[in-house]
Amino acid sequence: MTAIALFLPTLLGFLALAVVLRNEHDTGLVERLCFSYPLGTGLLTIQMFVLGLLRVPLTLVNTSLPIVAEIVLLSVLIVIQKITIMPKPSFGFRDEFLSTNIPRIKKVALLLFILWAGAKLFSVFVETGLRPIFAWDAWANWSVGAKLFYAAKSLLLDSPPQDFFASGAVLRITAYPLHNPMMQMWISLWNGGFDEVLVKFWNPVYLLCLAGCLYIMAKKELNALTAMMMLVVFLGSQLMSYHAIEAYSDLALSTYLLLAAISFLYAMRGREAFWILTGVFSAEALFTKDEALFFIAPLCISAVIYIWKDSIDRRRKQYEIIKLAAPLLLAAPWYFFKFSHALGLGANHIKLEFTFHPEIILPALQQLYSLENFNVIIVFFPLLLLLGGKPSQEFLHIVLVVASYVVFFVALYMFTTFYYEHFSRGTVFFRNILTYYPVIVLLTILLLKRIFLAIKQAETPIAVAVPKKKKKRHRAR
Amino acid sequence: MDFNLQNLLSMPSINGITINDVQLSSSVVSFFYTLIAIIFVCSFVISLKKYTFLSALKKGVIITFFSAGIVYSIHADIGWSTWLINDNRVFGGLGTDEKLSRMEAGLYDFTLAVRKVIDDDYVLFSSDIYLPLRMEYFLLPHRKRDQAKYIVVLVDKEAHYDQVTHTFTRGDVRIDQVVPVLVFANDAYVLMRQPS
Repeated sequence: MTAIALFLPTLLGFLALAVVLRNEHDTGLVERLCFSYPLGTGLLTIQMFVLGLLRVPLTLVNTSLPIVAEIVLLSVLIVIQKITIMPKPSFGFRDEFLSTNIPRIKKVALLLFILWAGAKLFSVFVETGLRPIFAWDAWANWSVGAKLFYAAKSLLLDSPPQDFFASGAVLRITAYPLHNPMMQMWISLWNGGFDEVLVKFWNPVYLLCLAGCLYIMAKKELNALTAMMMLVVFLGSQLMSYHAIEAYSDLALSTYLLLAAISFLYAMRGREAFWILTGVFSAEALFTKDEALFFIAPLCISAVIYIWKDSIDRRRKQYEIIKLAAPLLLAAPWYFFKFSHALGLGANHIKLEFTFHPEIILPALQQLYSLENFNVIIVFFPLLLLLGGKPSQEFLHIVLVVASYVVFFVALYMFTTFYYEHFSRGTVFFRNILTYYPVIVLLTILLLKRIFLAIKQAETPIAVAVPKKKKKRHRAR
Repeated sequence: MDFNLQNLLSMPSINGITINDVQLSSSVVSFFYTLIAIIFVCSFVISLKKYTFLSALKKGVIITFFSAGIVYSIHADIGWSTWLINDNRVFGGLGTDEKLSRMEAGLYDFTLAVRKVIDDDYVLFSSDIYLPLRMEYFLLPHRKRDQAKYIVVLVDKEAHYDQVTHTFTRGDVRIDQVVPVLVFANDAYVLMRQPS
């Protein structure tokens, strides 16, 4: 039943993607599948929340019916408009292995990396199945809501004030967005009960999608072998594998932020349908964790600046901005509900008390260079940035978004008492980085492409270049 | 800095803290930085024979990035496999309740017993911090209330139940006319208020 619960939103996302990308021929099957699951689950949980707001009992039938109806509607639309839904598979391994131009050692290395990455991803699913929810704030903050909503088959909006919206139970934080509890509830509805192991199974699928998206991206920008190496390095983050097996929201958020960034990148490359997806993934990120706002806001500003600078046609500019902004309305019901009930941003117990601790910069840098949690990617990123030379416009538009997001976190640790204390206790620093780590990997891929190109251009051996110099000198004489 | 080669493959075990940070020992960090330096120097010197200074520098950094990254991944995945093997040994083949029972020891067994005897909200007394929260979570959707029908006592040094007078006391709290409905252990039991 868990498999059906995960398959249905994937199918919804896949069909929705086929319609949005109907004129798009560069997106292969694997990439679409990796986009489909996060897209579908985001749409599903937002719909469940809206149904809850409308006081529709959140039963299996009531929550599944809209999804099934949408799947049918999209299928009809696809048939009527003769939209291709199955583009060619895009892993590209077959071509690599059959090619006679690629040395055997490279093929063996590629095979080893495929097996390694595959085994790692598989093991994450195995580990998810072995452990019940174990991390303190996973159950105390996130699963409490899921359990109560599931038991009540509602969002408890008509309950007495002390129980309103499942408040007051264990350490539930009513201000937190509902993507995570709604996913746990959806799986429970399909299984007919809240199972402490099965309710987490939506999370490792995000890791699978992340891995697929980053591999496809790296393969397009670099080559299959380097892409697989990059994937193995990316999956070498212990913290990420760890979050993938637990009922946390950080990995889901990192997936949505990456997909919003990739869609933005594609849109900047002239693939216009991706403006819509940038907006949709942004809205889904906003429904996953509060801090998403501080990534999505600069992303939207960056996108609007890009659109404004890129096109001279005023109507086209407006059209592209609408395509980006309209899907953001998906997050509107949540924000309307949140602020109309004074839920605020972040945990309920956070008191906005200001302080000033500039000294945190040093321990933050020490932690960043401690090599903990994120393989060597964070350590090498500034170096690759320097070697990459003058950055491209598309790179700048994304890196500035990440920089704003980083500045936001640093400001939190430096200027607010609550987060300064959490920073000192070591409970926020790395897991906040986790939310933008995949975007850093995306930027690393773009940097590697530039550096590879620069090396290739300069690959003229010195021995060949010398006679030319001599000739010049001769002429000068 | 103590550099102990035996610590190179050590990895903290799965717990609620590692979810924030999987710490590496100073030996491991020193090992990686040494490795990075060695790979970089070697690849840079070799590349210098074929490339200009800047290209050799770039090539050296790229080679170091991937080599160190892959060695790091081997290290990380050895740690990951250790967790996996260990968890398979502890939880493999068990049902969810059995897994929780093994993970939370007596607490979950007590919760299962409590769930069988209570059909309404409860008041929970404990002198611990973690245990009552975890129990409260397991007992959902029944909620913890001040004036509830059931009284759950879990590892509470101050709590006392007088079997003769059917009175429960804890500090200033005194509840009369209560009867035990479950005695799981000396410090883990459930009482029920009798209608007056």
